[in-house]
Amino acid sequence: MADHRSGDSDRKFRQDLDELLSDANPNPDRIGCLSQASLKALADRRQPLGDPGYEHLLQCSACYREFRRLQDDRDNEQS
Amino acid sequence: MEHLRSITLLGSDGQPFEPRIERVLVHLVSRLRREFPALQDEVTLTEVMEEAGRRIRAREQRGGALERLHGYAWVTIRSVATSKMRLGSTRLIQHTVGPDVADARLATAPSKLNTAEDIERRLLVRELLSRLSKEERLTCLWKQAGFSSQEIADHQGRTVESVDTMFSRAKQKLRRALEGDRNDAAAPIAPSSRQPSDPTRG
Repeated sequence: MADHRSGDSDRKFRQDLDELLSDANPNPDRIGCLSQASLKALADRRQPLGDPGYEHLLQCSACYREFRRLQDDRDNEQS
Repeated sequence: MEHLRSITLLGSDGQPFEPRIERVLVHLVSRLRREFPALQDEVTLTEVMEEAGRRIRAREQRGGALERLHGYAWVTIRSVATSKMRLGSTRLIQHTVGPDVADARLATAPSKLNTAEDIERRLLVRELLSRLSKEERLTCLWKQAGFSSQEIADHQGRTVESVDTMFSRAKQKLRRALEGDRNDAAAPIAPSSRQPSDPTRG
């Protein structure tokens, strides 16, 4: 039961984080934005953790949303 | 919109969506029309809604019923509509509006960007995120990307326990901040949640 609650709590936190990162940094001029290929590589976890692309995702909501969409697509394909 | 209300949206299996999904989709059609004025013909709108419905259904099949279906649905619809807008056929539609019509529309269109509410919301969101250290933000992002605590620990030269502790601390900080703001009813953060993927917990 505790594990179940912990899982729910994690999921909820990740949803909250998603909302925040999807909205916080509009970057309308798309400064420093990543290419589709780079975003896909990040979404597929083909890039190492030290890849600067991850830091960009924290600064650009447009790229973050696209990154999450690519993750969704990947998950859809796998399911 | 009347047209969409009168037809049944179908999933990839040709079956109608669950009534709760259908209701939310139909409810959001007017917002879709408003925010994507180039998508006006009923066929395109139906395609967008059906694709969004399929994605929502797939998500719920994997992760259970969405807690914030309305918010998730809008983010999904927006994503599908944006992709649609990039198609050549839709671009053609966008460019075939006559100059008089275009001028009139531009003159009366309310700004969707940087309204007072947008700016206020973003300030609040940034303030919430600023409560996390850079390291905590990155750890959260890596977790969101699906990396395990072990992978993060290896990268940072830490122990798994310290990564988990940092993640928990970040979680607590953000939760406290969010709850504080929600209790104050001062943070109009739109519930545009996207259900995260289910990363491996390490």
